[in-house]
Amino acid sequence: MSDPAQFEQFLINYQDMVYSTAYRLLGQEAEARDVSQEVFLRAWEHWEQLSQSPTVGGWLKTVTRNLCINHLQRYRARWKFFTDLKSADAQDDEPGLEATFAAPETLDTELLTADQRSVLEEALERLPEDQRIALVLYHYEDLDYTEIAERLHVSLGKVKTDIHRARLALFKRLQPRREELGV
Amino acid sequence: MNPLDETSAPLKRWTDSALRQLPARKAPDGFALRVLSEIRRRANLPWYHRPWTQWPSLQQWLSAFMVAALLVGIFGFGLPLLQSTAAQSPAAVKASAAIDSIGAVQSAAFKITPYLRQLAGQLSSTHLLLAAGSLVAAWLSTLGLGAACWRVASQDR
Repeated sequence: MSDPAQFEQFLINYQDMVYSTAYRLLGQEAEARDVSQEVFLRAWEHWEQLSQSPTVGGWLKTVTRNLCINHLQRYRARWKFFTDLKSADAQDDEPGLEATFAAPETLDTELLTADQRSVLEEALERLPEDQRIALVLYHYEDLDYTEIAERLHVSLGKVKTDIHRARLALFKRLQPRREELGV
Repeated sequence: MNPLDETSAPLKRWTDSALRQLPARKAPDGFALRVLSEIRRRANLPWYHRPWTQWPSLQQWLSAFMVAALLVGIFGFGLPLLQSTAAQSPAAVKASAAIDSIGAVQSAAFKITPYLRQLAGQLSSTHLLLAAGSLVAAWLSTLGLGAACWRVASQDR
């Protein structure tokens, strides 16, 4: 095995990136921590090759994403019935979301304030699981719709609808705050 | 083309821009220490508690040789020997008796089948519906109990 001090520095440098990816996909701190730990344990097993690799960040991201998807499929499938009930409850709170959105020609993409970022982070966490996972895979992991559908074993239509609903939900959540803040 | 593709381009750009402004989440305090101590713990495990791929090479070769020898023993010598002696062994006699008893059960099943058919013919659709309803109710109550336990257990998280 290679130098443990070098690995420790690598761990400190990349821990936030790995944990962020895992947390955004899994939506739970304990699960994100366990999966992140497993990612670094695998990195240690391959440290001799990884320590020399210029693409180690990409390797970490890919392993994190794969482990999270495996985790979701393996451990959450059995609770899907219950989470589906919860998601249905959550969606009932916001009826006709699509209908209230006018699909404007342009939207401001200016810098968000710290307050807006925290609202957005919270809104992302509160999205139904299916929507959040698809959205994160699309916008953070740069997978396209087809790849997401294949990885999650769902139809292309469902992926597109989930991502669209998630975007609308985030936009709607931020809109009142934007007006309130006068931006 | 999917209508979502045509209407969502500005929203997609907005979401992409907004999400990429979110800072990375901080890993929990002590995360690095936790990983390092797990690495140390695994390094201190005796070889036979680790995955086979991480065994020392001597143990890997020895175990592979033993498995190969076992397979050769079973398929090369054990099975032919068993076949040649099986006919005379007490185990073979017992197996034959077991097969006879299976045959007896089968003939009994054939004999009672007409009576079962007759009984089924006498059952009304109400009886069948009641039985199916009871099964569904039992299944739903088990599922409902599971859901209730799950919600109670996850409430405090």
